Amino acid sequence: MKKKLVSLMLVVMVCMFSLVACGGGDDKGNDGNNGGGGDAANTPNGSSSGYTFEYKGTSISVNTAIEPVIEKIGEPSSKFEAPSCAGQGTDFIYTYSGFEIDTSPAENITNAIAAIIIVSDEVETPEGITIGNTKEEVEAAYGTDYTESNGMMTYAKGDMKLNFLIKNNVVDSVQYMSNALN
Amino acid sequence: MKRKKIFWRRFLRVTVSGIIICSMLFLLQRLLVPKYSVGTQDGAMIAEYYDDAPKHNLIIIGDSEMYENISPLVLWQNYGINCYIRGSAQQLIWQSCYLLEDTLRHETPEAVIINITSMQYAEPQKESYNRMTLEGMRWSTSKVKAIFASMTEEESFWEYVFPLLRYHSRWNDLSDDDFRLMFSEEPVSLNGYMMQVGVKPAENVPEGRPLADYTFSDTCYEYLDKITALCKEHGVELILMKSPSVYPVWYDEWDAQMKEYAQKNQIKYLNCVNNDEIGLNFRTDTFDGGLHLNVGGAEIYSNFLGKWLQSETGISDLRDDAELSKEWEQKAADYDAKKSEKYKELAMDSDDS
Repeated sequence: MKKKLVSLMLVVMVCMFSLVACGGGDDKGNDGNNGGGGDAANTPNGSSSGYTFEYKGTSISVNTAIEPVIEKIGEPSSKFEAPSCAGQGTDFIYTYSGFEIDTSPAENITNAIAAIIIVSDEVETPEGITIGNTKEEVEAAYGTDYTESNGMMTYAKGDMKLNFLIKNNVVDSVQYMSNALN
Repeated sequence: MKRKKIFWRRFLRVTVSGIIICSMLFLLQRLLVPKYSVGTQDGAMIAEYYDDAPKHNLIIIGDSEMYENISPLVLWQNYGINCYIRGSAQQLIWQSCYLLEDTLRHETPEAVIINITSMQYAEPQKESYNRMTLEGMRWSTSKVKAIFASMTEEESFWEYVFPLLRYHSRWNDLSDDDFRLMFSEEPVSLNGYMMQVGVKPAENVPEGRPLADYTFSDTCYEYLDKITALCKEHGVELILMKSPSVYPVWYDEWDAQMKEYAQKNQIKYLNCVNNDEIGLNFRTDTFDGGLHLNVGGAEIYSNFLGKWLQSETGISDLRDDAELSKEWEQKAADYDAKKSEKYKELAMDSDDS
């Protein structure tokens, strides 16, 4: 009887130990006392294989850190800080002349570029497209391998999308968007 | 006779062993689950609701734009509205729907305010936000439905049933608080309101990114329809509300859709974005650059809201209820104490920096 009870207790301890021990590598969300955490499956890896934007000779890609970009292109004209609910990190919007860069926290990058939005014709994509170009000019520059929905032409490449919002047959907005961070 | 004795002995042994195993797993679970009353507190309010007497004539359901922007004490002191905010971080519209269903099982308020910021989200966003809403709900069919509607691809229903499966890896992050708060968490809110006292002016607010399609998803409308139907079924006045904030952008196209929905369903819609009547100053009344209000802003906004509710819905003034008045006396004292404590902490933080 005693032996059996001891074995039973051992089984319980082993079960509990295995529950505890197997957890090292697969924490999916909550990180301790605050119930917060990241989404490992959707986290950018710090490199981008998609379309890139260029400003002052610097290539800017979504899913990469903002800090090295700022070092090269200089400080923005304004910066807006949007802390997320419940301490889940802070989004930033950096405004430059003719475009803005949005960042979000990612697992390995504190401020990862989530989107680059061209808002005026002061700047253009490396392929020569900006606000006011026609849909045909976008097709000539980027080809016809795109999807279209509600006036948004979407070119998917790697872990990002390049969107052209067309209104009255001209480009109204150009958006480099991370798949993981938007 | 001997066989019977052996059977009962074995039965007893199995039962006792079962009880021991279950108790140990239960204790382990209580120890390992995150304690929302320390650290990030935004997941605590959903559970705190059940501790308040179900005699509210106003229930407010929504995300941080509700639980950080509205002071139930002002609604009580100035208008006699006994309100509770069932708020949680980035609460989605289907979660609001099932929280309403859950609430109506406990009480039938005169009016319900739903924050419609969540209409922009057609998909579950993040596990940690889901958990801040769902873990605090008491078990019911509403909670089960809310879990299934909310789960991201990586989540499992069983991890909600047995949180130990989800949190077992917290064993090396355990702190003294996990032991101290194993069985009873400290309340963090006053009737669902989470007080903030800092000041950070709204500056450089960006314009919203142009969207290809501003139409809210069918899924969101489906749940809004359910909310409308639930309120009608229970004779509760439904108010759709957009809380004041400067960011994220509440597009005019979204506003138009909500106006149209409210008109079609003969319900009220109150859009408080850029509403000068409220009297808010986003240089002084916000703690995070215009996303949410600090306590000063929340009190100004709550005054506006109380007046609006009285004139537009005729909600009852319950200040004649002696029992409620007594409860609110204590709550007012707690509120003032918390306010002083928070301002003291803020002053200390300022001195440190």
